[in-house]
Amino acid sequence: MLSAEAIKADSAEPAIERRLASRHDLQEQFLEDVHRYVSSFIANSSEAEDVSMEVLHAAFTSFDKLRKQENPKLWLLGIARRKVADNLRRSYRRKEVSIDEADQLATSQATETAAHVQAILRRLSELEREALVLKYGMGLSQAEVASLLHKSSAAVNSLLQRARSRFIEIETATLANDRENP
Amino acid sequence: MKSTHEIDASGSLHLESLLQGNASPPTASLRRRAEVLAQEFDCAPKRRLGWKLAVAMGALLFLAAILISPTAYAAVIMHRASQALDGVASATITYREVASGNIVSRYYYDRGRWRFEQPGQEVSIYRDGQMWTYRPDLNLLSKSPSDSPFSKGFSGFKLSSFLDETPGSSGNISVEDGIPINGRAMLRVTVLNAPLQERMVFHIDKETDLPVSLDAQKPNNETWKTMETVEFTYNKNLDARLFQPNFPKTAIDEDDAKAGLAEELNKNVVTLNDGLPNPPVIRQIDVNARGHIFIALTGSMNLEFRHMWITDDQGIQYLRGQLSASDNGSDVATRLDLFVNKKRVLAQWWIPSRPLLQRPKSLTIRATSGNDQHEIARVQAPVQAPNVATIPRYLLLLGGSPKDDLKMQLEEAVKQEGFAMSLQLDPTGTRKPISDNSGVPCLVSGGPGFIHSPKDLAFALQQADTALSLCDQIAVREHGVNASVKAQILFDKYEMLRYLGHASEALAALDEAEQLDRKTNYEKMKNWTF
Repeated sequence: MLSAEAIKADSAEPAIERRLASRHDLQEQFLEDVHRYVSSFIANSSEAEDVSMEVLHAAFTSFDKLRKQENPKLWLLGIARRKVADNLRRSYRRKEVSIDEADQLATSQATETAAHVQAILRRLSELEREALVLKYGMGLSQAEVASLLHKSSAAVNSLLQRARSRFIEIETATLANDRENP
Repeated sequence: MKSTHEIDASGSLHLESLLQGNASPPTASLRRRAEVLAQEFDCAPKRRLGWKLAVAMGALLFLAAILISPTAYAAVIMHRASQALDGVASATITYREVASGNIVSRYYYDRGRWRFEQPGQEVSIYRDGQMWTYRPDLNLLSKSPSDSPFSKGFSGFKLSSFLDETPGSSGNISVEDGIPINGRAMLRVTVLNAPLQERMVFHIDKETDLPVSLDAQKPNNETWKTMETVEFTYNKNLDARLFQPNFPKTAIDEDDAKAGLAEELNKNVVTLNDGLPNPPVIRQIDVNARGHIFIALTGSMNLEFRHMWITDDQGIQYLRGQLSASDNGSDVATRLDLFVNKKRVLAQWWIPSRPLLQRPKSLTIRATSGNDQHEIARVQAPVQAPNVATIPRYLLLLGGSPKDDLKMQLEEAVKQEGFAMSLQLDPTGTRKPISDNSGVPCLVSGGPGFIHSPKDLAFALQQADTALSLCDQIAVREHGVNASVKAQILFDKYEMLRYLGHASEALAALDEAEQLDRKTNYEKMKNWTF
């Protein structure tokens, strides 16, 4: 991601626009971020890849607008949020429509640890989950998380504390249960 | 199972490594796909930006064509369709749910003006750089400048949602020629996504190259069942009034509503701790006929006030209801930026942990420090007779769904079940850490870090059954069950029955949860001891 200094350095041609000369540049620089975010929520790898492609497609379609963004990564993660939410909604619909087809979606691709982490994340509220992944999974600053979630920084601070706390609680409870029932 | 994380001496969690390890880097295959897509876009000739619908659809059809490796013929057809849309002056797109026959939503487009309708829920109009959104349930109207409908998330009008339904690289496109519909020859383009077992069936007019309908289908007994249909009409003379922002004269302007609420809430029922900077100030307490409490407050809810506790004069504890599931799943409602004395208004919903036998006369509201659990505030507030039917109006405006009684009952049953199952709280706020609780069979409570021995499983089971019944009622009404909620209740039920030693009933509940939630591995739970 480009620093604020770098952006200011070239007033004739905005640095981001210069660096993001093509969509190729965009995917080179941000595919990793996008996919890491998406795969934090969607365990099925092929499904996660499809959603990442949807994000890229949306970004490519609005490329000119994206180039003008001060923080393209944030902008992309905003798209990714919506696409992940769409995907999860579709997942629910799929399960409601046909149980059998969901069999094919069941995945064991994630490692046990990743699956366990995802199981814990699922027990958090949507907002808590997102805040944790953005902050700790994606390494965003609190202000960036606040910007993406349309919350004040103070609200995000509170949200993160609550999310951290709940994560530990659920994990602790799960571990205790597992110890009793190995 | 081995712990997935280390908890250090201070109790903090290495969340970075845990959550970063949870994400996957892009595979080589994904990188290739992204590169192909980028090349396709970078090499594509510039389109005019006259009609964003056409651009979006064209690009997305192209994406579909690329992603799903269509035959060249199919790709040409899709490309022609997108080009044909370039020349359309007006359009109507209607989503219809097949099961109920109801219109889910409808979009109108006419030379840069847009109208979006969700019956009973929302009407939005975009024209001349302005967006109006009217919500009939709130009789609330908002107006704001907008550079395009899309910037406001007006995304339904881009057809991508159809294609979104079939993401995937392993599907394919097939084309059938000469399908007659209403006397016109059509091409039927079927986009199949095998891994997801979904398909979309476009009918494209051979003469105009325009899509005229789309069926979203799911497999059903070795055939395909249409779940939703989308009808397209083009170049009709649409009534100009559709694009006029003529809303009821009684509609409340959102800005006015904010001002009115700010005035209404500009009072101080009680301050939680005057000695602290920016302490929470309770602005209003409402109660409904079920005894649910609603609190509007301002001030910091960070750090010092992380934990609030409410108990009434009968000793009944109250549990935080989850608000605004449709917005953000948070337990505070802040959808509308509402400020009193420059402080943001938050809203909370509290549910009695047991059915009330007597109307509470007063509440004791406590706050404990998030760090060491010491009490930092204790205040008493009177409770008036029920003054709201379900939820207070400000809560609706702040995003405080659920708005209807069934969903409130469901939240109540789930909360009461969870509470009775684990008794996370007690009237004094004294709680046992897990280390003091060794040897006591525990239930997974998801509670605030502490596990208690179960206290009232009979009531918990009763509430779990109530919750399941409510899930089914809501499913009938909404033509679909919230599988994750129901699966969680069933899992709780399994836990309780397991604790009680009712193996067969417990496993039946677990089986049912598994049917609803295929993404959780329930296998190992089946072997837990009884």
